[in-house]
Amino acid sequence: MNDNLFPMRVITTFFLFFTISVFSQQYTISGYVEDAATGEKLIAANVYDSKTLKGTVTNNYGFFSLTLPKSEIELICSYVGYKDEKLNFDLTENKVLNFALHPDNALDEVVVVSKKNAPIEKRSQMSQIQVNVQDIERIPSLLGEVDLIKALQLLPGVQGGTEGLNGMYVRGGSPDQNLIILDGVPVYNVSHLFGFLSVFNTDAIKNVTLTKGGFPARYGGRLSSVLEINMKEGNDKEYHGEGSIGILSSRLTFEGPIIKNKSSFLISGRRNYIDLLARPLIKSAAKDSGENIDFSAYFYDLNMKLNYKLNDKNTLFLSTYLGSDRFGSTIESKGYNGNDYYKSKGGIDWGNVISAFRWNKVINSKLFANTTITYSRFNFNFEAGEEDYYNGTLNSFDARYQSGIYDWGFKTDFDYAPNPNHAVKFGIGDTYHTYNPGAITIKGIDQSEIEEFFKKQKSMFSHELAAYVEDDITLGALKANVGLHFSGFKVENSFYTSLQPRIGMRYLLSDKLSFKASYASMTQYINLLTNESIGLPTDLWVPSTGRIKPQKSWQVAIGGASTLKKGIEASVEVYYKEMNDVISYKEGATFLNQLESWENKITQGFGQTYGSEFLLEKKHGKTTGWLGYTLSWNNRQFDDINFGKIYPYKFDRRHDFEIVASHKLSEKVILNGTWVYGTGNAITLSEAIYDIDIYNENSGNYNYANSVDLYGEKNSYRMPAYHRLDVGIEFIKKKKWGERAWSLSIYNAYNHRNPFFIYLGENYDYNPNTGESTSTKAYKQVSIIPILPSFSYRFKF
Amino acid sequence: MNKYKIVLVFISLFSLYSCEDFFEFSVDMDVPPHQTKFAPSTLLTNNEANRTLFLSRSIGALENHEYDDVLYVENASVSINETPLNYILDDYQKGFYELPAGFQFIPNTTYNLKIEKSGFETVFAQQVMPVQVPIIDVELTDEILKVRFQDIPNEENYYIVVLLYGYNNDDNPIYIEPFTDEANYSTLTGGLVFRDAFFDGQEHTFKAKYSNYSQIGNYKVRLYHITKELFLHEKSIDLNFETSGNPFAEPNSLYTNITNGYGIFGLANMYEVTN
Repeated sequence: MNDNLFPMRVITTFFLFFTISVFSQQYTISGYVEDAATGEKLIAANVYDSKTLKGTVTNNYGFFSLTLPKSEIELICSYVGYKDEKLNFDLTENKVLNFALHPDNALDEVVVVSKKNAPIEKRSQMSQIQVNVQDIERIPSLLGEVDLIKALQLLPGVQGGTEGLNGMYVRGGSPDQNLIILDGVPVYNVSHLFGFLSVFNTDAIKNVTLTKGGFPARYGGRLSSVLEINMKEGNDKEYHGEGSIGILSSRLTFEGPIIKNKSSFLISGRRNYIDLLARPLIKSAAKDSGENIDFSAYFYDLNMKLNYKLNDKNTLFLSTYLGSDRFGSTIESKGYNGNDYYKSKGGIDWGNVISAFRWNKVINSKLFANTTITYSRFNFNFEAGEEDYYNGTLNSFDARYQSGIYDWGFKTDFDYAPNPNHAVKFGIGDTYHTYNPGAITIKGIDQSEIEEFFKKQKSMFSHELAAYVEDDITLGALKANVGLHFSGFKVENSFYTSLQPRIGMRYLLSDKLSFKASYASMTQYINLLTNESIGLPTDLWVPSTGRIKPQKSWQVAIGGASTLKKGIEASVEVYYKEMNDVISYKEGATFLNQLESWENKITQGFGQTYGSEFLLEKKHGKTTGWLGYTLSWNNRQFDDINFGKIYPYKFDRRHDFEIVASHKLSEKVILNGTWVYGTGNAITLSEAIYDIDIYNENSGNYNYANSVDLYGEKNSYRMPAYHRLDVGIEFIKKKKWGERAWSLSIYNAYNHRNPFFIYLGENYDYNPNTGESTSTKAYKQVSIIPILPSFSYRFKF
Repeated sequence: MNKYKIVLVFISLFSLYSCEDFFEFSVDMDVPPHQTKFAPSTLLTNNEANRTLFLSRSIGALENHEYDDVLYVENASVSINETPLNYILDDYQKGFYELPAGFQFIPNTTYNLKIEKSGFETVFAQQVMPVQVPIIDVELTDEILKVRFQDIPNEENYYIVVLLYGYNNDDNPIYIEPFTDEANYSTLTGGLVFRDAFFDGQEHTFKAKYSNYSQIGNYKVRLYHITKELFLHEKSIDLNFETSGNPFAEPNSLYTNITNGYGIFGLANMYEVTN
């Protein structure tokens, strides 16, 4: 065999795959699938020929392209929750067909629904879950606030971190390793109210897809997961609205056509109102004590989307998210003479601004292009200060801290469907990042003399380039997604590149059972400096630099998937993931030390996670929900932490079990419940103490003993197991103007004291006879969320 | 309507169920019983400044212990290379053992510590005495201390710098603050401990800030060339103090080179400059 001919043979074979159809007279059917009532494009709708079972699914923009041989065909378009559309015709030429599917209100009564979406065993993608937004809204929630991230924490392979907060740890990865994209734009901070709520307003969301492994080549830039969220486009037929009133916040969404069937808008807002209710009360109480108090404690967000259909082949979209949190107070008191005063103030605020301008173009019946320009900004500000005016002299102090990240991005993605056996995606993109790792300004007036201090961590800039190609190939019982992702990162004088092969495949063992396997390598160039305990808005996004290497990972997974009786989908996956150059704060380092470069505060090391996940999911019928279980191990090793020895990650959770269920008692009443169980978080405990010889600053003497805590191996103990039951009931009523629903829910229904943290403390016993108190040492658990009933009122019109 | 009533009663019952000790309470943790062990701590040099060893003992974290009570061990058998250390009889500072007069450490020589006492497991430790690293010059201006010295090339070296001023004939360390977090506070000396990672084999000027509130007149600057084990211990003790009591901080383990025990047996070769 002549080796020189080998590349030519490969190219010829590859070319034949794509062109073989030409010789057997094939024609292409292309078009969009949309909701007949709203005009919303339907993502991942199934379009197939019932005679040959050849088919395709719509892309993220509702577009499909299906090339079939010249023949008489029965084309079926189906989507969960909608009635099938069937068309019989002779395929003798290329056709453009747009499907408008009607919601099937009787669907819940159907016990077995097949072929509505591609069944789990037929899909080549593994480790991916599509979450129905309606399911999320039914899950009983903390204080009645529907929350996307907390709902995702109920999936196997996804763990919440600290109780009540929206940290997301996917297959052992840390929160910064999740690529969270809203309409194609990265979201850098997903927290409202210090993490008790996420920034995603479910009223504005159309589609949610979480990928935990087996990443297709189109995704890149993070190690552990991709959470893709698509906003609704807005009803282009008629005006509609929906909203809710809850204990913490209320929200309102309005959508409708600008030009019927051509252009639409959606606007959705949310705000909490604790400050509005409490401000008058606090002001009144403070006035009685001679003080003037003003405080703010709110968050808001606003989602907006516009789209305009230029013609059958071109559509423009503009989507924007604005959101902010603000917590602060000002306290002022006057002196007796009326001139003197004392004023103190403090507060923090943070927020995201995200915007995407998108152009969908159908280049021809087989080629679809999506071009996007994106902007994303996250800012954090902190301020504290005081003014003391006394006897004509002013002393004051004012400190401000600011940090943030800004992105401009451009990308073009193509979908190319040459024949039913291939679905090719390729594209390129570039993101220009600006990082402001922190600037602190301190201004003081001491006896009317002004002193100023300013320290700014160096702003940094980088270009992150990406290019990819992937092909979803069908070869009989074998379906594979093969791809290559290239990325480059230019920062200061360094340029990193990475070529990341990706493969995911499924092999049909029978009509109902498939074997799946995947391999993906990933590279991450931007890092979040955060502590392991809680995610705060003080967390900093910083780039890889000449000193800080990019994080890299590879993950392999195998598994099986099947559709059982009554349409229950079952899947089992086993995975192994290694992460290199993951980052962590060094022991004792803190973001508050602005004198120190952030590069000096962090260390890079190794992470290893492995485990298995089981999922049983019932999507149809009166009772729906899922049951998930994860068995996993999660370790870290840093040269500068734990003396270089490997240790369990804080959120190493051996067992994680969740059951989510919803039962429709009648058209008007729905019962909902979730129960979760997880192994306790790994912690380090003080096991003993001893005294050391120490120089004592106060006494000015050497040879003075002081006690030190002797901790066990890092994270070698476990908090008690976490478990919690949430229940809810929903009363729905149709009204002349639309629909309303009262939701009552109870969080932590059996009032279990779940651990927040554990520390070594003391118990005090008072003896009333002797009047003495004695103390004994004890490990003490702090819990934060007891049983919490709540209600909310939703409406649609 | 009955359904509504049932739900409301249900919620009310659970609301009343919340109890006061929900938020903080004692919890049993599966921590094995602690066996008390020796915990010596010392930095020894040839100079008069550092000639004692403090011998503590460990107790379990749950054992009751008054804050002011020092955990010391007296009348143990403490020896270095089989030379016994003498127990210091002092009513105020108990648990200290002193090197005999005339005992001199020789650079690049290995020294073995052994501590024995009935009721304790015998502990051992080993150290090699570092060579001396002289100070080239010292500068104290604008509340900045600068200490220049020549690092030894092609090996990892560890140092402590201490600034002292004379007061009533005692040597009192002055608190000095590092410019970077490459240096940690040294609990055994009151100085700063650091390594030569970024200046291997080079002439290096170590800088630190100090407050000149005491108007330093006569001062001493000491440069301790220390062992790696001593460096790791000092760093871990410093972080231990910083994170102690903070439930959100990641606690750090204490480094020890004591076999069968805790603490540190550290040797240092010290060079001193006096103005």
